[in-house]
Amino acid sequence: MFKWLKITKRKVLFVIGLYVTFYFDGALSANMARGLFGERVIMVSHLALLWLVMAQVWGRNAHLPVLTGSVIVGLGTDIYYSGIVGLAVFGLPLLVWLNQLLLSRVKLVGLWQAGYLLASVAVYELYLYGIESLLGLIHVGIVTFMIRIFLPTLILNLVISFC
Amino acid sequence: MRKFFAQHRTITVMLSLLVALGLMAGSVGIRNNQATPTAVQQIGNTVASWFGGIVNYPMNSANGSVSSLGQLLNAYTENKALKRDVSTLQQTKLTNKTLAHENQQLRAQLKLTRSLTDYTTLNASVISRNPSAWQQQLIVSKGQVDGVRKNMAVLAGSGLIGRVAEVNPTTSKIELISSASESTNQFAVAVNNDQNQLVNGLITDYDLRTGTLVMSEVTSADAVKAGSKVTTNGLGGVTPKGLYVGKVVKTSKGSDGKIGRIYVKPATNLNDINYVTIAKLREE
Repeated sequence: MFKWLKITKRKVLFVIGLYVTFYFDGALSANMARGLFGERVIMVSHLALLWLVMAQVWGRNAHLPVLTGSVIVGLGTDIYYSGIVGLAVFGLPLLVWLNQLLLSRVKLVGLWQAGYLLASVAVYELYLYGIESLLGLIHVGIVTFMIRIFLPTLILNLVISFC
Repeated sequence: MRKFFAQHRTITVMLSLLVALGLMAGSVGIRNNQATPTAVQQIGNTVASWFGGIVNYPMNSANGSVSSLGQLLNAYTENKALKRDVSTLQQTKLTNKTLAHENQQLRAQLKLTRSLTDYTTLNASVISRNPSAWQQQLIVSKGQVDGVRKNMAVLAGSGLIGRVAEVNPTTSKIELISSASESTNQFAVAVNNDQNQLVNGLITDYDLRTGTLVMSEVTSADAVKAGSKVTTNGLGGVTPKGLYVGKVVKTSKGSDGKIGRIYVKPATNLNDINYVTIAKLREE
């Protein structure tokens, strides 16, 4: 019975954490825009994505509703933040699903877990760049993207994940 | 490896991707062609903004407190500079009042009831910002019920910062002029050249490397000085005339030797916006 209570408590914490990180992404971007969206580099926080991946890496035994959470967060991101439905509502669940397949075959220990978080952010950023370029929504070169956006974003999210 | 990429999984992913691409293309089409988003999006935005208040309000308050503290520390220096400006302010106000009265009289004589410089303003606070490298968008606290309409010009600080991209019942999304998104509407602007003639053009791009707006499709080949002020010219009837956009930083020549592009530094720091002013052309 106590094990059931512990799992329920983890589920509640997961949902609260997802809610807070979703809105914190936007609040952080608004209030720290000077530092994040500078003239030379752009750093994008992916707190909600990190929370989802952390839940998959460290909360495997808790049976957390990560896939459902990713669909809701993806839909929320598309409707509330960007206004273009389809980008995150497809991207986040796809990433979570791929993680589920990979993590069921591979066991991560120590720094590999942190590396996995970073790899998830990297894949998601590349996905966003690829899809938006494909749709003709942006026309920024790959080199500019890598130097000014991709690498700084990875560094920021690495710092966040260690915090 | 073969088991990982099983056929049914691959087909599911490809089908989902096609559906997602269709949704994205549809969203962009609706956004560009309709005045308001779909009912589902409007409801979603309203609900999301209510729930967001619990996180956004404390963050915005904390940021406001830190800014206030910073301003308090700079108060003495700022006060000295402001005192110098106050002495010339009274004369400027009087001159403006005289000019406005004269303008009104002349327009009455010409039976002009509406001009490109006539606009009303609506103030809003920034609730949140899109955490995206590509879509530089702010979410503000005013929406359809407050009179906000799509494509209204938005100002903050010293000048123009963008346009209303999406209107919901109680909130709106402002797309900044620094957005890398191709779907950002272009602004018709003007600047005086060396011969003091008006050069019209369009803001068509934002250069990430230099942090400047790119003005192209210019109507005159004559040189434009660095430091010249760029303002909106009101052409198109959507954006009021005379809104300050920024200052010319440099120009580049096309293959024919004439001016191809003018690079403009935005008037306002686009990364330090807490309040915005939405400009609406006054209707007849």
